[in-house]
Amino acid sequence: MDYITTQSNNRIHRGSRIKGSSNIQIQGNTLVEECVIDAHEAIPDGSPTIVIGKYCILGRGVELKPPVSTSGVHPSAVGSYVLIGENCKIASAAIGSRVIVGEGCVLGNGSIIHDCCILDPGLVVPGKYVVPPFSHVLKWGDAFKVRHLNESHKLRIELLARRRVIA
Amino acid sequence: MPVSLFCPCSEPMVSSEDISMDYKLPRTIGDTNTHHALSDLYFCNDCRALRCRKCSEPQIEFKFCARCRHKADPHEITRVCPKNCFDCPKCAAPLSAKSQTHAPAEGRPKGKSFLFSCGNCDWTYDTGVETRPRPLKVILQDQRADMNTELFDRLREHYALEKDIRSFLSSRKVTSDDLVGRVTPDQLARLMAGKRNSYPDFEPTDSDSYCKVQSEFPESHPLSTRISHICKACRGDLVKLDRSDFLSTKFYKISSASDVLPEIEIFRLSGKLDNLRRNSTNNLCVNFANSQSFSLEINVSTLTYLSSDLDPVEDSANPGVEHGHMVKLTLPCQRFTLGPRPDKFTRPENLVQGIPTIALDQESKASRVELIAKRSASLGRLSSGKIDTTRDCPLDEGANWATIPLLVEIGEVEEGIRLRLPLFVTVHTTHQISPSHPAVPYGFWAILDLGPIAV
Repeated sequence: MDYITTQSNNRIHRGSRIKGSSNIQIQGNTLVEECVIDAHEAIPDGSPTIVIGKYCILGRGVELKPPVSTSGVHPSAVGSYVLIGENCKIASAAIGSRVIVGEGCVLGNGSIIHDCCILDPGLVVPGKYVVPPFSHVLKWGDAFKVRHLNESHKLRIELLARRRVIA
Repeated sequence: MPVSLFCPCSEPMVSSEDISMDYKLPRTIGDTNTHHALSDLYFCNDCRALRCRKCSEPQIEFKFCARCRHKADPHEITRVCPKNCFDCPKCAAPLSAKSQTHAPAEGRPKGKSFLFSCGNCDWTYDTGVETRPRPLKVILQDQRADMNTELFDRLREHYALEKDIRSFLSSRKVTSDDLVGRVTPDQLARLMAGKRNSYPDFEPTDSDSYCKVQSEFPESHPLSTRISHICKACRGDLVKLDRSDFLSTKFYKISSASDVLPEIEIFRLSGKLDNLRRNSTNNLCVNFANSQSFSLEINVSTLTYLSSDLDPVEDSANPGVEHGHMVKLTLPCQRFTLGPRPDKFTRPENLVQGIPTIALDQESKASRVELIAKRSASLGRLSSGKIDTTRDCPLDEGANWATIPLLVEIGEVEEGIRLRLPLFVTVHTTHQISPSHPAVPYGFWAILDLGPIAV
C-alpha cells in the first residue's frame, strides 16, 4: 500500500514529492519511487513541463526538474524504457528511449541523452552536453569517455525495463 | 561478468597433421581477451559462428557532430567538428564564444577578439585581437601550434647545448667561447675547471608542460560515428544501419548473438553465488533461455576435472604453476529442449513466465502470483539446496527456458584463485531460416566466472 496506482498503471510511491502535477505527463506502466519531480513552473504554450514515457523507473532519491535558461523554463522529455538509478539529479532537456542512467549521476542543465545509451554510476554530464545514440558513457577519473554501445542493447534494455517494472 | 562466451578467432591456425587430441580445450580459452559478453557479440548466419569485435569489420556509415548535427563525409580523415563546436578542456562542457570588436587606437590595430567561457566550471579563454578574418578553429590551431613550437624549440636548444658541453669536456672541439651566453657564468666556470656532470638541467617554466598546453586551449568537439559491421570471413552483413537518419535507432539488418544464442545465467541453489570456498561442494544452477521463435535442442558438456594443462583456472599470484586436479564438475543433465519464445513475449504475463523460477523473488505481485502457479515439484527441487545426480532432466522448465544443475566440488586450492568453468554448448534446430541458410547445428564455449575462491 506504499504506492498509488493510476488508471494507466503508473505506480507512484506515496513518499514522492511532486510539484505541479498538472504539468507532468506520464504515459503508463511507469514506476516512480520516493523521488522529487519539480514541474511547478508551466510552459507558456500550455504543453506539459515534464513528459515521461512508458515502462520507466525513477529510483529512490532522484531529483527531476526541467532545464532553465535566461528565457525561462523549457520542457523536459524522458522517453520510454528508461531506468534512472537512485539519487540522480536530472535537469536534462531530453532523455531518449532505452536509456540506463546509473546511480548518483548528475545530468546538467539542458543536456541531451539520445536513444539506447548507458551511463555509468557517478557520472557528471555537463550542461548542454549531447550524448549520441548507442553510447556507453564511462567514468574516467573526474571526467568521462564515450564509447560505442553494441546494437543488441536496444532490445535488451527494453526487456530489462519491462521486467523490472512488472516483476 | 558471470557468464562470457569464448570467441575462437585468436586460435592459432594448424594443419590437419598438427591437430592433436591432447588438447581438451581451445588453446586461447584462458586468455580473457577472448571472453566476451553475449551482448557484445554478433552471429554470422552464413558462417554459423560467433563474431566478436576482432573478427567483424566496422564500416563507418555516418560521421556527424552530435551537437550541431553537422554531417561529415564518412570517408574523410577528420575526427573533430569543422564548425564552431568547442569543449572546455577541464570539464568537457560546451563552450560559448562571444566576439568583441576593437576600434583602432594608438599601438593597437583594429580587430576582433573572442572570449570562450564555460558555463560549468568558469574556465575562460581569450584569443586576443585578431586583425584578419579567419575561422575560430584556424585561430586556435595557430595559437596552439605557436605554443607547441616554442616548447619544441626550447627542448631542441637544450639538447644541442648538452651535446656541445659533452664535446667540450671530452674532445675540446667546442670552445668556451661557443658556450658563452648559453650557460650561466657559474656553470661555465665549473666546466672550465673540468668538473663533469655540469650539464645545465632543462628548467621548464609553467607554460612548458605539454599537458598544460593541452589544457590551455578550447578543444574541438569530436565527431560521433554510426557503424555497420560485416563478417571478416564471408563479408556478409552483421549489422546494417537504416540510412534514413543518422540519429535513427532502426536497422535494416541486425544479427546479434543475443538474438540467436540462448542466454546463460548461473545461480546458486542456496545462498549467494560468491563466497565459494575450498574443500567444499557447491550446488549451482545454470539457466538457458531461448530468444528465438522456434525450439532448440541443447547439448551441454564440460570436463570432469579441471587440471593445470588446460589452464582454465587462473592463479593471480602464481600464473603457470601446476595445480593438479583441483575442481570436479558433475553435470547430471546434458541434453534438453528449449521451447520457442512466445509470440507476444513483451506482454506482462509472458514476460513473467520468461523469468526462471530461481530468479523470481517475493517483491512484486506478479512474481508472487507466478510462484504460486509453479508446480510444487520443481519448487521443491529448487528449495532443497541439493542436487540429485541420478536425475538427468532439468531441475525446472518454462516456456522457453530450462534450469539444469551443476555440481562443483572444489579441492585443495590456494587462496585467491579465480574459478572459471568452461561449458561447451551445442545447439541443434530443425528450423531453416531461409533456403540459403540450412539448419546446421553450431556450438560455442561459455565461461562461467565464479570469482575468487576464499579459504
